[in-house]
Parts: sequence; C-alpha cells; structure tokens
Amino acid sequence: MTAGPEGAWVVARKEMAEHVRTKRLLIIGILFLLALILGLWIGIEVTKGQTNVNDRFVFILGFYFGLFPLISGISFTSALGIMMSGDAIAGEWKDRTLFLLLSKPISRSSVLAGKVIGAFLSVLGVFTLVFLLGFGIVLVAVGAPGGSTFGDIMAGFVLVAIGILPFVALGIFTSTLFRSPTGSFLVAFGAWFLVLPILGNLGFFIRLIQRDSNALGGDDGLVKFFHHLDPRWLMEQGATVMLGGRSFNLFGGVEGQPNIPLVVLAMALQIVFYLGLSFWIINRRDYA
Amino acid sequence: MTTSATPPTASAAQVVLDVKGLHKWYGRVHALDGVDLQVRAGEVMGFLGPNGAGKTTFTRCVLGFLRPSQGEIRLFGQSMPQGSQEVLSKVGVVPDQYDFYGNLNGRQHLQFYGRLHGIKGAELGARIDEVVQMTGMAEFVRRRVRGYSHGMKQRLCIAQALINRPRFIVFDEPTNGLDPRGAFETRQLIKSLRASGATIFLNSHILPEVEDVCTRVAILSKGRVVVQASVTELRARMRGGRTKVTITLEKPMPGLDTLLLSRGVVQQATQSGDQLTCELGQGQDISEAVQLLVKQGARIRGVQEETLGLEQMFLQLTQGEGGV
Repeated sequence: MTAGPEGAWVVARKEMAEHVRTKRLLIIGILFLLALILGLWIGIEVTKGQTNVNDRFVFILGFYFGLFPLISGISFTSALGIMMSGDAIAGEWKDRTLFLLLSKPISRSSVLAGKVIGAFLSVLGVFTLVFLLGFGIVLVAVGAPGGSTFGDIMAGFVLVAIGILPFVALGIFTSTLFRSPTGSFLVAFGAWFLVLPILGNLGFFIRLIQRDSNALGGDDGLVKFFHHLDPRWLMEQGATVMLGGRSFNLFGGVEGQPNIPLVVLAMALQIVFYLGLSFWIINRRDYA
Repeated sequence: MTTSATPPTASAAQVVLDVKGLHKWYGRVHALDGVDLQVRAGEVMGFLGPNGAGKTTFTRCVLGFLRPSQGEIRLFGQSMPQGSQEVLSKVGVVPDQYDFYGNLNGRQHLQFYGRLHGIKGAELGARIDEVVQMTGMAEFVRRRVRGYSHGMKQRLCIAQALINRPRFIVFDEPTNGLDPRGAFETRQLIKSLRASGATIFLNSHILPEVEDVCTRVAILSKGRVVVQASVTELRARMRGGRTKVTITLEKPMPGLDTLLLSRGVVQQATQSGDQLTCELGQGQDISEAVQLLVKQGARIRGVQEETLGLEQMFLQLTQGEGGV
C-alpha cells in the first residue's frame, strides 16, 4: 500500500511521463516558441534606441511575458495549465483508465493531488524552458542586466510560476464535474477566456456605469478588488515585477510594484477554492 | 424450482468477501435489491446473471467505485468503501471496462501499477518479469499500448491485476476478446492461481468456463442472488435429488421399463426403441438395474448418466429474463 504523498507522487510521475509524450504539449510548445521569437524580436526592435541595458532587458522580457496580448507568455502558460489538467479526471473516466486506477490502494484524494502536481510540473517545465531560452536570447541581443534587475526578473518568474497553479486547479475542478473532457475543456476555457476576465474587470465596469472617471486609472479599491479575482491578472503581476514596477494596459500605464503578498494570497485562495471543491466532488462521486 | 438466497454459514476467518443486504439505486432504478453473498478463502466463485441483473454494479460496489445505497460490504473483514485503501493492496482486479494510457508501453504500465502497490526497485523489476512471463506478453511488453490488440490489452490487464500477488482476484469477463489459445491459457492461469491459494471471483458470460474453473456459483437475477451453491450441489438441487441415466441396448426388448419399475430399482423408467431412460431416487444405484436387465437377457451397449449443464440450470433459474 502506498501512503498518501507517495501515491500522489507516483501518479504525478505517470502524468508527466504521459504529458511529455502527447502531441498537444509538443504543438503548444512549438507555438509558444514561435510566439516567443516574435515577441522578443518586436521588443528588441522597439527598444533599439534605448541605451540603458537594464531598462531594455526587462522591457523586452516583461513585454513578451505580460503585455503582448493573446500570444504572451502568460496567455500561453495559463492556457497550458488548463490544457494539462482539464481532462485529468474526466479523461480517465471517459477512456476507462480510471477503473484500473481506482482498483489500486490509493485514495481518490491522492489521485487528484498527483494530477495537480503532474500538470503543474509539466507546465512549469515548459515555462522554464521557454523563459530560459528568452532570457538567453535577450542576454545575447542586449547584454547582461544588473544585480537588482536580475532579482526583479527572478521574482517575476517565481510569481508567474506560482500563477500556473490557479489555472491547473481550475482545470482539475472542471474535470471533476464532467464525464467528458470536451465539457470540461469548454467550461475551463470559457472561464479562462471570458468569465474570469469579465469578473476581474467587474469593478471597472461598475465604475464606468457610475461614470466615475477617477477610477479609470486603476487605483480604485473596487477595481483592484475585482482584479484579484482574475488569475490571469494575478499572473500578469509577475510581468509587472519583471518590469521593475511598470505595467501597461489598454487604458494607459501604471507605475509601482504590485502588492506581492496580496497577489500571492489571492492566488492561494483561488487554488484552495477550486481544489477544495474538486476534492469534495471526487470523494463523493460514483464512478460507474 | 428450489432455490435459496441464503448463503451457507462459514466462520468469519474463512470469509474473504461478505455482503449483506446490499441495495443500490440509480435514481428510481433499483439495481441491487438486497444482495447477500459470501466468498470463502480459496474458492473460485462464479458470478452469473442475465444482462442488466446488476453484476457490474455489484462488482463496482465491492471495489468501492460505487457507494452502496444501503447494506454492508466487508472485504477481508474491512468495511468497504471506507477501508478500501488497505484492502485493495490484497486485491487484483480485471474489470469489464478498462483501457490503458496509449502513450505508455506495457512495462511502464506495470511499473506504475506496481508502484501504486508500494513495490519498488529490484523487487518491482523481478515481479514485472514474473507476471509478463505468466501472461505471455514478453514479445510486446515494450511496445506502446496504443498499438495493442484487444487480446494484448487483456493480457496486460491480467498482468497488472497480479502484480501485487493478490489474495483475492476479481475477474470480470477475463477471456472476452481472447483467441482460443489465450482463453485456454487464462483458464489455466485461473486454475493455477486457485491452486496457489488465491480466492477468485469470476464474472463470466461463458458458462462452460464457469463450470470448468469455479468451485461455487452465485446467480444474480433482478438485483438479487437467487442461488449460491457449489456446481454439484446446484445440480442435485435442480433435479430434486434425482439422477437421470440412459441405458442403450444392443437391440430393442419390450417390457424392460415395467420390469424395473415393478422391482423398485428405479423411480421412473421409459422405453423408446433401444433407449431405456431411468430416473433414480436417493439411495438407488444404477448397477442394480443393469444386473436385473442382464439377468433378463438384455444385451447392454452403454450406460450414460445425464449431466445437467450449468447453462440449463441458469436458464431455468433466470426464466423470463434477457441473455447472459
């Protein structure tokens, strides 16, 4: 019999071995790489006139990871988090591999924990590879950044990496709701693409309806509160950290480092929310 | 028809699986209607029933995939599904519905399932070699499962069920999809597992297979166990304690049926040409009837006791229901 953490690790290793061999990881990895090359090339071209190596370095890297809409590193990383976890349970159920898994001496909670770890480490691996490649390209093109800039970049990297987990948790949650991976992916990507960004900007919309022009700069409490409900916004704070506190959105620039403990807390609460529901569902469900 | 749903008594130490009053509802559908079943250590229990009788539901409840609506399941003395983690370390399962991870090969699967049982390192490697040998999958064990035929997958499924040297093995249609050689080898494997002391629960549609390998059978009908007995006991019960024997004569000789009945050596006798069909009651022996016939000058070509097949018994017990 395997103890809980040991069993979860066995499942996680199997998940990673499987993910590495799937075409979807390869396809999205190639797209990720192409987007990286394009994003970095644009960043390098745009900052050609700048002489400060530190500014140029962080701008290019932060630009790619946080600001390049749809094909940014954050969009890819968050989508990959859902893609690697959205069929975790639903896929096993539909493919009937779940029955062999449940016939083994491992708790359902350990199976779920293993799925979370496996998906997270798979996405983290891809993200780290792409990040290191991007870092290397900028290093060659621009030169080495200073010590504090390097620290900002690493802190930003860690924040984005932690930001993978809410997406993995969201994918895991929807995978416990459905018997078919299609349903699970539809709901998870629907939330990723539409529901969570709308929720994250709800405060902004409320202020718009109230015609409160002061709130449009992004410093309003209500606007900020709702931002924290969107995991992609939380992940983008990593890019803001990389940029040394500079961030940009459709409505203009915002100066200042994000409140990292608050961002991490918001991420942790979302992870606990989605995974708590997932554990509750999987331990009560009949698998017929 | 004399049937009984009451299992024979057995001491708690001998009982591997003990199910009492098991009910399962799917909405308004009453899939299991108070199932009582015992499987004792060392026996091969054949589990039969028409389609929709609740066999798969029952098996999934036992293994903890489904939560019973009511009733008690004890496996190795532990209540299921609460004690499933500890209990399942002694259990091997060949489910009726399963598949594997297409991108992994057979050996990687066996490593995965072995590790879930807590088997590691050299011990795991040796055990994998052993089960690969037992199930005859050495030729393809390193190939990706995506390219496996149904028969290959079935062998892998049996191999994964044996990886932990289980004391209780659930086989759900184990020869389904196997070629005749594969089916024969699987039956031999089940027999050898029985000989090694494992307790086996066999759910099969193939009645001769059940008859061949099982020591006891349980028949499920409309969510209830209608009979639970050894094949021999079942035969005796179905016949009401009577034995049917057919005597074939060299040439027809009228009046022999009346003779046997008048001497009281048989309970019933009917003659048709060279065939004399007799029914013997408790304590009656066919040799007495044969001696009497020989004394009368009859020349006997053959004597054959009619065996009541499991299939006939099954059909009688589940009259009016769907196929097996």
